[in-house]
Amino acid sequence: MNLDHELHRVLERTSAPEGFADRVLARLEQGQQPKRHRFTASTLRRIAAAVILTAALGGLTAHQIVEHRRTEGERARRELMTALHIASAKMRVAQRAVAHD
Amino acid sequence: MTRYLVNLLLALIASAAVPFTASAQGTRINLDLPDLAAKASETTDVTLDGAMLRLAGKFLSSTDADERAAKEMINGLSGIYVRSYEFDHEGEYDKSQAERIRTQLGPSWKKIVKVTSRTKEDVDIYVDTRGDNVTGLLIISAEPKEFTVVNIVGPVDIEKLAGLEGQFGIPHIYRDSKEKHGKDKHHD
Amino acid sequence: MSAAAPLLFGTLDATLQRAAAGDHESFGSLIREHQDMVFSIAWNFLHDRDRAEEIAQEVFLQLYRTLGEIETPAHLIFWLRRVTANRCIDESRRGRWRIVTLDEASDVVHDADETDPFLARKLAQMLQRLPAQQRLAITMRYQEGLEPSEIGAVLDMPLNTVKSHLRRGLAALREWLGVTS
Repeated sequence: MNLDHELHRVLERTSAPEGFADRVLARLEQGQQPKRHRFTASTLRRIAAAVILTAALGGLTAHQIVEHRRTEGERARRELMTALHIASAKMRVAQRAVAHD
Repeated sequence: MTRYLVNLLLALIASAAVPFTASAQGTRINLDLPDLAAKASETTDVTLDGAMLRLAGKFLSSTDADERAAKEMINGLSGIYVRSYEFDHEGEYDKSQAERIRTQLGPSWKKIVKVTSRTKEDVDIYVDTRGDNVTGLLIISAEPKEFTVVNIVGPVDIEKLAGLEGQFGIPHIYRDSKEKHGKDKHHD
Repeated sequence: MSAAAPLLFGTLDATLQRAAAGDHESFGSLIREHQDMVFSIAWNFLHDRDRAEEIAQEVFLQLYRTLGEIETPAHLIFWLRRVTANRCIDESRRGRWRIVTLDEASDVVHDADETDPFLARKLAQMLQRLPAQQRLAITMRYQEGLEPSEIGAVLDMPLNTVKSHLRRGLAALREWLGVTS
């Protein structure tokens, strides 16, 4: 089996459901807004602390600090998952080898 | 506000201190191998100290099974470090480079697993201990075209870490067929 | 202009401008031009038609509010891919993840001849087992034909991370399917 060929086949674009565009326009005309993500209370407190620190130190805007923190946090989360995937895969190699002994 | 700022500055200074310090939690190992990095076609570099682990933990989902497992895994850890070097061809890197990692291991480190394969992947696993407690983990993996080292600092749950791979994507079909046939159809 | 006719970039610029000015008919043209791409990314990620449509609708509603910031047709495509990917990731973290069984994996019909329909379904199911980032990287590579650098831009990831996700995802698929090459 040629995996590349099969992936192209399995992942090729599929047609959106019939009437999709009309449904989006209907929601638009009814005034429906996309769902927003809400901050938790603890996140708001952290944002407030960041804003105060900004006011004290000058420099970045509050929005930039919040955005920077979110970006850094998401990046750290992705790196963590990558690291754990790698570590657990190596552990499993060892585990399988030990099981076969 | 002033005390807050002072504490913040102290935290920043502490985080900028010499990174390879022994602690009650265990020792961080220097995983950097510039000779390999220079030859590698791809390098994966993960450096997550305690502060970054805590930050990452805040962004982990408690409803996603993978991330819930990760959150449990990192609880209490003070660092996770990974260097993975990939090469285009076999024989492009010197496996003896691993000695630069091993020579850093003090008497508290114990080798718990050694896997040697003529054609595939050699894996050495070491744990750092304080009495009966695991305070660190080191994995050195050498494949024909990839060299990977992983250092976890802190009370790592080794069983849980090995079990994560079962959660990180092995399909139920694979597990079901393995249980049905009673053997691993993928030979190592 | 018929809904099926592809829009040339010259006319797409004008369509973008009219849509940004509030012309719903022009916005409808944009939707019809890109709906397959957006829906397919969500479908290939979630394998749930209802949730994929919900995400796709949300993406276009968000686009409508952001049209003034879209500078070019290329920017529009980049924006749609990125926002769809982000919403897929958000959706996967909301605990409504559903394990796709072998039977359910067959409700997408392809025009191409299937030499081995069982294999295609199995591969689709295996894809669902991959971690989210690997699945997205592979979708962008094989559905959208993006190079790793382009995937990195869309998913806001370093190039090496993209390559790692692709390599590990493909390796996992090969192992699960017993493929040696």
